[in-house]
Amino acid sequence: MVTRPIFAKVINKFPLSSKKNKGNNYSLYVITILFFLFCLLFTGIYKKDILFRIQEFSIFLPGKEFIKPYLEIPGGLLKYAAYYLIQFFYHPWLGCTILASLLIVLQILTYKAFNIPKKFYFLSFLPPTFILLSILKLDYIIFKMSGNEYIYSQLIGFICSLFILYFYCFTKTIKSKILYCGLITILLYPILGFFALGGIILCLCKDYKTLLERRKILFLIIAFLFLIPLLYYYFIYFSLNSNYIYTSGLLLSQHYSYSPGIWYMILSILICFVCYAFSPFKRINENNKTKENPLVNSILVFILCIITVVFTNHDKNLKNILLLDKWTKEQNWESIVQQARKKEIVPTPVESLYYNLGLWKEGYLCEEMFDYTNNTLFFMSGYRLVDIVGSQLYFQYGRMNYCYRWAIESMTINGLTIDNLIYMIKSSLVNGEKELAEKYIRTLHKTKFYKEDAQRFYNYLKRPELMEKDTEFVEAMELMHYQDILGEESTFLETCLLNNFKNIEVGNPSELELCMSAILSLKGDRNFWAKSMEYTNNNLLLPRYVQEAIVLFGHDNQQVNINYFPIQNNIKTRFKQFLQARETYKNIENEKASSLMKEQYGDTYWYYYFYINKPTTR
Amino acid sequence: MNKIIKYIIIVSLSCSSCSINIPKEYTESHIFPDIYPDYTDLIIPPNIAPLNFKINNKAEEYITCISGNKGNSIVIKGNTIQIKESKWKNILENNKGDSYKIEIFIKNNGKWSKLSAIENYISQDNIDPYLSYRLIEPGYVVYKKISLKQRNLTNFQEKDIFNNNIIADNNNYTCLNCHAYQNYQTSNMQFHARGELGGTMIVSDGKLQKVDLKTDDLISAGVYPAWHPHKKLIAYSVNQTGQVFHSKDLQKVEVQDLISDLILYDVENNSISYIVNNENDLETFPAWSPDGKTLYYSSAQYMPELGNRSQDIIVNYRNIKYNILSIPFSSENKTFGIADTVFNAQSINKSATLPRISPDGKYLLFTLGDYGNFHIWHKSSDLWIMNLETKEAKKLENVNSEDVESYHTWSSNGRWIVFSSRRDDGSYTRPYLSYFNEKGQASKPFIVPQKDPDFYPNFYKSYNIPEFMIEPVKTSVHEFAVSMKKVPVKASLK
Repeated sequence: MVTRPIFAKVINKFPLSSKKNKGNNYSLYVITILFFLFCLLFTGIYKKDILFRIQEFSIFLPGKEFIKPYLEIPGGLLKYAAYYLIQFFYHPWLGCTILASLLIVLQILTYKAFNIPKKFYFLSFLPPTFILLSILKLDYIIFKMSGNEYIYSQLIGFICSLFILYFYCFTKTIKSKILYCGLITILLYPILGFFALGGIILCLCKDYKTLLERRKILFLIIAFLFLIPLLYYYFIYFSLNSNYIYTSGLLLSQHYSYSPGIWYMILSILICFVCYAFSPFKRINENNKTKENPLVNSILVFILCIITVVFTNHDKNLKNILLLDKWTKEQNWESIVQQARKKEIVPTPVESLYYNLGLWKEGYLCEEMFDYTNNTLFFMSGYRLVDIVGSQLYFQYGRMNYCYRWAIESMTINGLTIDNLIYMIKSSLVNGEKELAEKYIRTLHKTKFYKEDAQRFYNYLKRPELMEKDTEFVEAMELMHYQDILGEESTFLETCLLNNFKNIEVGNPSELELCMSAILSLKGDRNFWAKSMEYTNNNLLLPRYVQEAIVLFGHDNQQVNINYFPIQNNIKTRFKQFLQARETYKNIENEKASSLMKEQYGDTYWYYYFYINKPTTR
Repeated sequence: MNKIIKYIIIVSLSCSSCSINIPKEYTESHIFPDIYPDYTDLIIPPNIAPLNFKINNKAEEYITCISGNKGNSIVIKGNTIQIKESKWKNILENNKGDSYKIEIFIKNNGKWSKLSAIENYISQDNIDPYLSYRLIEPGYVVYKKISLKQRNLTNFQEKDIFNNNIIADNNNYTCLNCHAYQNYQTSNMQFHARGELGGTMIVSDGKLQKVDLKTDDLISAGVYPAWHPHKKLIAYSVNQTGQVFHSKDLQKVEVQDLISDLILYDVENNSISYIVNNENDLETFPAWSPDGKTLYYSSAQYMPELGNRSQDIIVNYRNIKYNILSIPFSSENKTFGIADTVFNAQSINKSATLPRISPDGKYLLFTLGDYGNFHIWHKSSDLWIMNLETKEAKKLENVNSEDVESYHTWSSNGRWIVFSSRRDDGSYTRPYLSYFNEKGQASKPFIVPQKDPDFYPNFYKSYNIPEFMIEPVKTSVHEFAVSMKKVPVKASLK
């Protein structure tokens, strides 16, 4: 006799049915529709920026060459299908509608394939909730993932597994069961990988009573599951690691070690399915044919939605980075500056870099930069700035070789994406590498939603004078009158940029501002006084932080007469106060002194100079 | 007379087969067809896969007739010309030592016109049936998926020799490089793996072994290999290499040897000995003469000026010039003689690398660039040929472009060369083939054909180190994978 699973005993005792809701068949579908709306609205409103960015970190191209790598491992086609669907996040509402629809397909299939009783209708919402959470938990890993395709590949995979289970119900005889399991494994393992095998395992779990009575049949099917993938491995697949023969296509924990939460969600779905398969739902259905409880089910689904909202990644910095990235692409510098001035969140170094770019473009760099730099968070370890904003910032600051390099490095690690492709195009266009630019533009033109961009770039290729009317290109090209240097390290984005700016050949006030910002950030340079003189010699207003630096460096250097410079009296006075405060706190331990000084002088260059470390190797 | 009648019959037969589809009325145009890849005015091997191409001339309709002078023809509609392998083979087989013609008819405004005909010559000399290469993104520091491939040149079949995906775990990928064979045969071959499962995979008489060539005294494990043509010996360079980037120069990166020497690895005894080991010389790229009595290599004299060696090389990178040297070898006692300069590139302010001797021993093919040794990044690099009898060296006419020409090898019969070029787009390396005649002249090169003529523009990997083979690699991918996971056998330095 087979022991009844504990799970089944528990749910049988759980009194969900009520007389009130008897016979109300449509009410459950209302719950489904409401869940659909929740998924749509929550992702469409709250997560549209990250989903759009994920779309930029992927690409879908028609043609044989694009599909070929996905045929090299079992389950690869799931990735291919996923990339097809991800591209629709270009229009976030369209993408979110597709996502929400597929989540509902998963929910309905869970309900149908496991014969979940109506009174336990809410159980069918667990798998889509876990999938949704795995997407909503996405964090900085989007900049690191070699494939954001898991969003859909796992969802489609689970849907397919459920289809396999659903159709298994139609096999009545033992022969047909064997045939079904054998054929599914042979035919679908190459397409679905783990999910084909998983589907069959669910069939076995659900049908365990029948199969245990005929153990030979059970062993035969298990032998299918074991041997067929092995045969595929030895005769068909030459790119598959033997460790992943049976799990190919499934998201594994080590792939996302930086965000283990994602993997736990997938694991939860697997556990759910196995529990459902072993549950005596069929018998419960037969005993309580018409019972359902929409109210309790609604409440439980509502709780699931609340859990989803609570456990979603609410990182404000990430949200801000995505926004700043968007504004940078739109060249909406004013919004970036306004965002910096709001000071709503403590910025990460990524945000500081964006703020500095916006401030520079708007002409406030040496006026405001340390107000934000002094309050920058240390960034999470394991993430390099260059991987997140390397190509974008190197392009904005006219470092085309570095822009191209980091786009290519990104392509090597993450595969070709819209994001790296666009920077490869832009840098090749500016560098005058026409054939190379054309190759990339042709690829971009094959995408569904970037044809217009491709056409614009193509026009630049054929008529470079048009490029000179595009402010993004013009401003980047204006910064390119520097000599070639061999051996500069561009991996450390901040220091590389600062060293570049420090040595820039100043031709206009904007470049002077950039040069001075670097000198100040690097805490002085032999050119400091000469560059400061350029302000006065050209009748330019001395920015606040340059004045503060003159007072500071002049204090240490008696040979310089700072009266030559038009320094505001309040700055001179405040500097004296700063020195007095420093004297007061000199016997207090450094960390505490820093904290006390920050309260009063956290917006000054002097605070940066004495208490903040120079950018090094981020 | 009989010959003339035969010729008339052949021509009329070929025309009759063309006339099935070709337009009856058309005007002769003197416009030259714009086709990609450029398969015009070539000498091609009689066993090569179909040279499929795409017509870029704008038109409403296209008809193309491909016919051999001695018979056989194919008529294809549309601007993408993908030729059936069996029909193509018939043309090549029946027209060996003669030409085939490509006639393209285009229709514009309802009227047909015929573009200037393309004529390619079919050589009597076969090309080696297999070509192996490494596929990798033209990245700089990072790498991920890398594969060593073998392509059957007589058709479009491409298979993995090995790829790193099969052993990749937890996003750790092993770098693969430097595949080499003994005398174009694959029962004795090798390639390197770097990284977590690193080692040199050596196949000797079909038996596979993973070897660790790095000993405590060597500056690195073996790098650039050269199998002795007859003995179980492999000459390697050992290199400490640095990579630095240009902030503006379009060549973008410089790869430089900071220290390098040459070693000899005895496969049977698993032992290593030095070939040359001069502190002030940078020796690299060994290559054996076909008789195995001489080893050629590139060498640059380096006298440090600044205190820091790597800094010094970065500062003076344009002054490092490699010459080609040779050193006699006695295979009986495995000893080397005294080195001699074969080509003094420094004297013409250039740098010569990658010496390769033709199978008949008459010619030395090498790459000449302005400086340094990593010529795949130097747009100045071209292929040069030296007649080893007359010592006359010259740029190899017809094959060079304004962009990079580098890694090159001879076919086993010495009539074909394959080399890497970046002429297509300046960044992605592509394999080009060229006929090399007995007079030491090369013909116009052509890109290795692909089934889809649009393949290369859509392909985002570079072809590294193209090497001819007369047979496919027999060791399977899975066998390499199993061996790769083993602990390597440590070689010892004598």
